[in-house]
Amino acid sequence: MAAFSSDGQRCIEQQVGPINVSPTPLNELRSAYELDRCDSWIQTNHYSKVCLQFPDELLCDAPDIVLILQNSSGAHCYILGDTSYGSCCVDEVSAEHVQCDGIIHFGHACLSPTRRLPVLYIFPKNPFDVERLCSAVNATFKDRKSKLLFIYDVTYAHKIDEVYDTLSCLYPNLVTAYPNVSSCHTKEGKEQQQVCLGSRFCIPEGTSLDDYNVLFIGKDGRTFTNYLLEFGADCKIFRYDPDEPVSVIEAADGKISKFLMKRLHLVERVKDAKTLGILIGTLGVDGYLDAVDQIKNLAKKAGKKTYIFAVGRPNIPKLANFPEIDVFVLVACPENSLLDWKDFYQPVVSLYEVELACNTLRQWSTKYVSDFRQLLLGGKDHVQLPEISMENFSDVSLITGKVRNVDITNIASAESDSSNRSITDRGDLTVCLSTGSEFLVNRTWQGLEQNLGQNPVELATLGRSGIASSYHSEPVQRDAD
Amino acid sequence: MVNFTVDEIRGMMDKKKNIRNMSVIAHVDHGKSTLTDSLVSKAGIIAGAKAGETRFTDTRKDEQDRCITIKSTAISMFFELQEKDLVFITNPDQRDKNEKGFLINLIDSPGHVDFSSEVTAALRVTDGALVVVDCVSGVCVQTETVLRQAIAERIKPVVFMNKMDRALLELQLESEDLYQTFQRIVENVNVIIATYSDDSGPMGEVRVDPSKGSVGFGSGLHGWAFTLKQFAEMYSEKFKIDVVKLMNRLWGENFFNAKTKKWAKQKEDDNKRSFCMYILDPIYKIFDSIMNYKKEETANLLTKMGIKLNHEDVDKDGKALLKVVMRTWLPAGEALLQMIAIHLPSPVVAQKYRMEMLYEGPQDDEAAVGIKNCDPNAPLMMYVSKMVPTSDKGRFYAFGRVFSGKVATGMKARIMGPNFVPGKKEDLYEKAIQRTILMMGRYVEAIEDVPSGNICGLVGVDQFLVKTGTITTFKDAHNMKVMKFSVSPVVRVAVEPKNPADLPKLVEGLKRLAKSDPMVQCIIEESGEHIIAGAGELHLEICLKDLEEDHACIPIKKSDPVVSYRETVSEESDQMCLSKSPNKHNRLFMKAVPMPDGLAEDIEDGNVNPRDEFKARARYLGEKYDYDVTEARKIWCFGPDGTGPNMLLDCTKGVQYLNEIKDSVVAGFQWATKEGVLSEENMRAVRFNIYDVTLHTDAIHRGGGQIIPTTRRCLYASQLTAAPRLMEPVYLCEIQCPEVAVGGIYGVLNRRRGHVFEEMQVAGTPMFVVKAYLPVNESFGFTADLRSNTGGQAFPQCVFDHWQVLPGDPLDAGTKPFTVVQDIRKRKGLKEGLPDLQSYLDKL
Repeated sequence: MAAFSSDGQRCIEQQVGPINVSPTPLNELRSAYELDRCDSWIQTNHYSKVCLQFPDELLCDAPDIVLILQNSSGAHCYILGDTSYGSCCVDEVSAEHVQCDGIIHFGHACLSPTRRLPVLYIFPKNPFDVERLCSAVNATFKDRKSKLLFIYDVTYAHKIDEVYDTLSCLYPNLVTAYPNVSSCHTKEGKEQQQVCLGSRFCIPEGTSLDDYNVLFIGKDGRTFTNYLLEFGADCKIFRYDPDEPVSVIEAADGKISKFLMKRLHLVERVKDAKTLGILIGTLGVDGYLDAVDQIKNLAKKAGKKTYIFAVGRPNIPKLANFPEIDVFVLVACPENSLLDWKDFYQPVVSLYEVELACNTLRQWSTKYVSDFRQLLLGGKDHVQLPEISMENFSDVSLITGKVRNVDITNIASAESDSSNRSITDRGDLTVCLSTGSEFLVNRTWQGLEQNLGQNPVELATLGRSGIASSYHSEPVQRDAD
Repeated sequence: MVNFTVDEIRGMMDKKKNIRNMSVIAHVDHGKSTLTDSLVSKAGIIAGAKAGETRFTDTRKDEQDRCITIKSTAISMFFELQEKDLVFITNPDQRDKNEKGFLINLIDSPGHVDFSSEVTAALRVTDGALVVVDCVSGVCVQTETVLRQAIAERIKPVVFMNKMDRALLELQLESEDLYQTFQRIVENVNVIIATYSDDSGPMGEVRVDPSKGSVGFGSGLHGWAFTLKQFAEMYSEKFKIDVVKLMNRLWGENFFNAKTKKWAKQKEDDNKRSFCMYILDPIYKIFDSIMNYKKEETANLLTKMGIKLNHEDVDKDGKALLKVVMRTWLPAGEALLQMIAIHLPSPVVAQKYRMEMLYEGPQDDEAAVGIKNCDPNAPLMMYVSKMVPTSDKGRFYAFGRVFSGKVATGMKARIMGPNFVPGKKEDLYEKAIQRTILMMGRYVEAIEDVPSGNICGLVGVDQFLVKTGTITTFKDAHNMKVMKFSVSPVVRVAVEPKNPADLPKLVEGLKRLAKSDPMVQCIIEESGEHIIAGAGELHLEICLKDLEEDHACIPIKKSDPVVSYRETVSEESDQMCLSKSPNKHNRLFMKAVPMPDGLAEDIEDGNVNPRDEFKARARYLGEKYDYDVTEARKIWCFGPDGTGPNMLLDCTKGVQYLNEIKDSVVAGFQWATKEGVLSEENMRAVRFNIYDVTLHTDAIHRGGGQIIPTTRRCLYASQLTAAPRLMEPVYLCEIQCPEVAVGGIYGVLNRRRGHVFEEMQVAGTPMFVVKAYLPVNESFGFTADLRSNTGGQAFPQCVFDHWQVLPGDPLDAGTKPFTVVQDIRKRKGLKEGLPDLQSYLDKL
């Protein structure tokens, strides 16, 4: 499904990597995409309509897969491509357009749980040399008793059992995580099961996660950043990239504090903001509406206005259309939450920054929670909002150097007596004091200028017809110059 | 000695004609705090014997350790004038008919240039200033700076020549030479005064004149002082001449022939200058006899002058005896307090001419009239000039002056911050004042209410103000004018907690620090760095220490000091820059042009500002800078922050819908001027011209989303094509040293890219003054370097002076500005390398 409005520029400018651009040979399709597993999933559940969701780089294989699957399973298959938000998330909304029974998601996935439809994840199988990893592990972790937790990019999930088998005899305290999908392996025993981002793992009872060395297998990207933030505060975290010619395990310290400092700046921006724009960045992740409600709640307690925006994939011009918004809050899956907003007119933050800014009971810690579900009621990082609103609370902004207050009662009382007059003074504005109208008052141009009596009276004439990108009266544009 | 109670003071507060609000200002180390102590000792707060040793107003431990004042401190004093002295007060507004007592509110201010923001804050709440000048080193750069500020704020000065003991004991000056020194200092002071005011101005005569008694002489350390009035009183009976007339005779070209008993206007062989003869000679004699242990002569002198010593003092000799004798003969407190009471204006007098400088609103509204008449029954108008930390961590007393009405405990008032605009609710709070207090050095006393003309502190308004603000009960009141500081926060350090978990404490500490200092800036940058910006190294050092020990109470890591830079352009853009909106339907055509010299300063000083009437502003720009007047009328905005030293001009002709996109273009302009293209530093002295705009006919396609980012790109393209340059801040540096050290100074300055533009000898002394421009970036460690190269004989005073282009093209790898830009980009976490023009510029 195409984004709500798109000039196509993204498609043109998008850098398509050299990997996987060539279609997979027909005879390998079945194994590469685990089509047998798909077949049996469809058939055991008796689905008649199934959506197949592909990321852009796998779209080239889509037609062949559909043909094969339709033939073998008998179900009607649809292709979902060009997902509105991130292709790591399951696009339930598009799937519901055809009222399908289930979705098969191909390619990299963030494994954020969905609610409406059953999903089967088929991960890509990236080549992975287990031997090389083992030697690298041996070289880094000399202590055979050290507690190791392996997490990894889902593209390496197919080899993880092999890794476990090879290394568990050497390292008795090795734990490997598994993708948190329904078809997950579970082990017997008295163990605490933990789910973290898209991984599920069990550590033996009596041990704490803090003692573990966490090794991430995969590239330095958004997925790794999220794990780094999740574990970085408590454990030592290492990264191993199987694609790099030299196999080294590198420790990833130090990066995190720089990142947290940057986010702290955003917390201050949120505290300064009078108007928040809640940017819907997912329609699939379970609990996104609760997250929106939570932001609204927090903002209300802190005396800030909120507006909800659903603009598809956020880009600079879309968001700059709303200069009255001070800060946008993006509600999206963990991998898409941390938007690089460098060139954006307003900062784009995540729910966690809003929590830090507006929930007085939440303490700053060196941990960063990018998964908004953990912050909601029932999540492990949930902190109850204080009952009382932050009345009479004011401090100095370290961004603007001005006094910042969240004193709701003051605003109300000031309106009721003295500045009542200033409202009526404005006269032409019937809208009462919202931050939006306040913004409008400060604009030099406030809408159509009537110029009554200055312009000659004219009869109404026929306007244009068509849509704005090309009206019927306009000649067809030669190119997008 | 007068012991006073709060009730007594409260009584005095109502007699507004008998109030004197004054600050003590001077160059660093000229002896303000020591002198203040002798005044305070007279007013009875600390024991008289301790005066000169305790520095009562230096309330902080580090102040006492370093012997330097860091914060200004206020003290209230009570002083009664004798009947015979009352006749010197002729203006009926200067004294209540039936009251002999005077309430003197004194603020001792720091002399080091890094803390001159404290001086500014002190001057705002006072009407008079005691300018202390070290008679050995004369009028120095900081003397001039603070005096200039005082005159600009319409503060009336009196002068005190301090450290006479040094002149006599160390320099052993002849009496005629000493007179010449005094005379020169008086002249220097009056030259400065005359430069910034004239006698026909609203303040009347401002210049100081020893023969009128507005110049004092003495030694703060030894606790003695006099004005000509004291000596005239001693001699008036003998000469049978009226005191006032005699004072005129005792100064200037008046010579007395002891044999013929004749006065003359010229020096002749057998006559002597009256000042030397009648004033300096007796002092010299005492010094001579005591310091040379001439016991008998001393005893004779003492009886002759009628000085009686206490039993315990009789046995003293040498310096100790000298101190006692001089202090008994010419007590400093008496002379100075007389001078203050007689020559400094009461609030009633001062507020009449100060009102127009103080109040932003219409000059005839209730608040203005209340201020003008210093009327305690008018609506309250109080200016809070600074925040003083309380013993309760994180809370502050709001310290300020009541200009009109009364401020009382529990009263509800409007608290207006500097960004308050009448009719809007930004920066406006309506709160009850928890408590009003009297601030006396280290102590505070609660007081029921404080009427106009007085200085006091408030509890409970600190939450609603950052540093300064206006407190009023008048609904339509405008703000009192914001203070203008003579220094700028150009030196910055980044701080971080040693333990990352302490970050919230650091943030809290920074907020407190931001309040407690009138000028320091605490900022969290986009890169996440926590920046403290101050006037100089010493200022930052003190701020960091306060932050670590008082405000945040956590161990802190700090970066090396860095300076902030500005981005500018040096030529007109070499091409018309076109940027298209993301939907390609809108086009902006712009160019960047450097501003003529002086315009950026004019904007910063407020001579050209966004609130000006546009026609008058255009005329001014046309006359002074040769701007095309029709173009200059169409200044869309200034930036960054709507007031900065960059302009956006509309040079288009007949563009449809232009006014619709103005807000979006202005928003883009504010954004771009705040973060320039080179290194995201502020821009400076750049004028951007919009030459043409083509817009989509449909409003939905020319909204903010299309225009704001495009404006920014277009401005960046204009900047890049206009030979961009980097500007660095430059200190004006004044160094005092003996002649032998001058060579060493040149060496140090040359190594640090400084250049000397003036070198002169201080007349009558062996000291030299070297004035130089020194890039702030090169000033770190300058003081220490200078001392080690001159054997500790040279002392610099550095104050931010101007911005200067850093020579070299920042786009050319290998130049100094290029390295600077790369360093900044790295520090801010930006992509290293140079900005690419192609990403901002579009082709037709």
